[in-house]
Amino acid sequence: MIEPVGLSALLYVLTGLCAGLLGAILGLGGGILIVPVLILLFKVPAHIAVAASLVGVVATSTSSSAGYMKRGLPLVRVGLTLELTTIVGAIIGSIAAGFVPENAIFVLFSLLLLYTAWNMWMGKKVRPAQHDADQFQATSIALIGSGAAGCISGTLGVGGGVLKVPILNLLLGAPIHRSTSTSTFMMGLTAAVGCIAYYVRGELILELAAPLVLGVLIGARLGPRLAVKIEAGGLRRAFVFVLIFVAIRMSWAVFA
Amino acid sequence: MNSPGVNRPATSKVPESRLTSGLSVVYRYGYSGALILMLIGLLFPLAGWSPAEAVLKAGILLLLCIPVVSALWVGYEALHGRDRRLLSVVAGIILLLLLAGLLANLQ
Repeated sequence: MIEPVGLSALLYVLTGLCAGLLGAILGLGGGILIVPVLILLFKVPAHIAVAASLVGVVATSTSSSAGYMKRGLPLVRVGLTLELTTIVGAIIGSIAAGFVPENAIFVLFSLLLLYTAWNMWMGKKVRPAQHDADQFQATSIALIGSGAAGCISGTLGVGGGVLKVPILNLLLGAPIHRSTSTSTFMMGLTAAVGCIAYYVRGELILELAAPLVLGVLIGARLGPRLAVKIEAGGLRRAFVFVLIFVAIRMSWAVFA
Repeated sequence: MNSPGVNRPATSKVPESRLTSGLSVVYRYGYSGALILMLIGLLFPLAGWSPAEAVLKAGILLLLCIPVVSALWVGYEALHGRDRRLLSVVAGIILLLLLAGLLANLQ
C-alpha cells in the first residue's frame, strides 16, 4: 500500500526531482526515467507507473513551457496542428494499453530506451530552417509521425519528444531550439489526453502521482539553472549507458 | 458612415507573439497553483489535517487542465482575431478531447 506521507512519498518526490532535473538538463520529458525507476526499484505495476509518468510529463511540459512561452519560442500554430493527429495517437495508445500485457510494455519500453540511447549517442542532426519544395508531402509525413508519437506516449507514458523534435526540425525545417520548445509544449496536451483512459480505468494512483509531480515541478524549475553550471556532454554520455543498462534490466525482467 | 469593424477582412492571422505572451501567463499561474496545492496536500497531513486527498486531487486536476486551458486560450485569441484556420484547429482539438473522454468511459 502506498502511504500518502512517509518514506515512500519522500522517495517518489526524489524520483520526480531527479527526472525533472535530468529532463531539463538533457532535454527529455522525464517519463523515460520515471517509468523504469517505478517499475524496477519500487515494484509498481507497469500500467500504474505509466499513468503516474504521464502526469509527470504534463508537469514537465507545464513548467518548461512557462519559460519557453515567455521567450516566445514555441511555434504554437504548428504545434496545435500536429496535435490533431498526436491526440488521436494518444487516445489509441492509452486505450490499447489497457489490453497490452505487462511484459509487452517492458519489451516496448526497452526498445524505446535503446532508440533514445542511440539518438543521444549520435547527437542531434540539426538542419537549418528552410522551406521544402514539397511542403504537402512533408506535412503529411509530419502528421503521421506525430500520430505515432502520440501512440507511444499513451502506451508507454513518455512525452514522445524523441519523435516530435526530429519531425519539427528535420522534416518541417524549424530551428532546433524552437523544435524542442514546441515539442515540450505539445507533450503536455498529449499526456493529459493519455491520462484520461488511465484515470477511468482506476490506474492513476493519487498517492503515487502527487509526490512524483511535486518533485518534477521543482526539478524542472531548478534544472535550467543547474544546466549552466555543469558539463551536459559528459552527463549525456553517462546517461546513454544508464539507458542501455535499464533496457537490458527491463528485458531481463521479462525473460527471467 | 461605416461602423467600426465593417472594413475588417473576413479572416486574418493572429501573430505568434500574441499567442505565446498570453500562454505564458496561463502556464505561469497554472504551474504556481498546482505547485501550491501539491505542497499543501503533501505537507499538511504531517500536522494532522485530513482533507489532503481532496487537495491533491485538485492539484492533479489543475495540472491536467493547464494544457486544455492553453488550447482554449488559443481558440479565444483565434476567435477574437478572426483567424479561421487556427479556430478550426482548436475546434478539432476540443472535439478530440471530448471523444477521448467518451471512448475512455465506454471501455
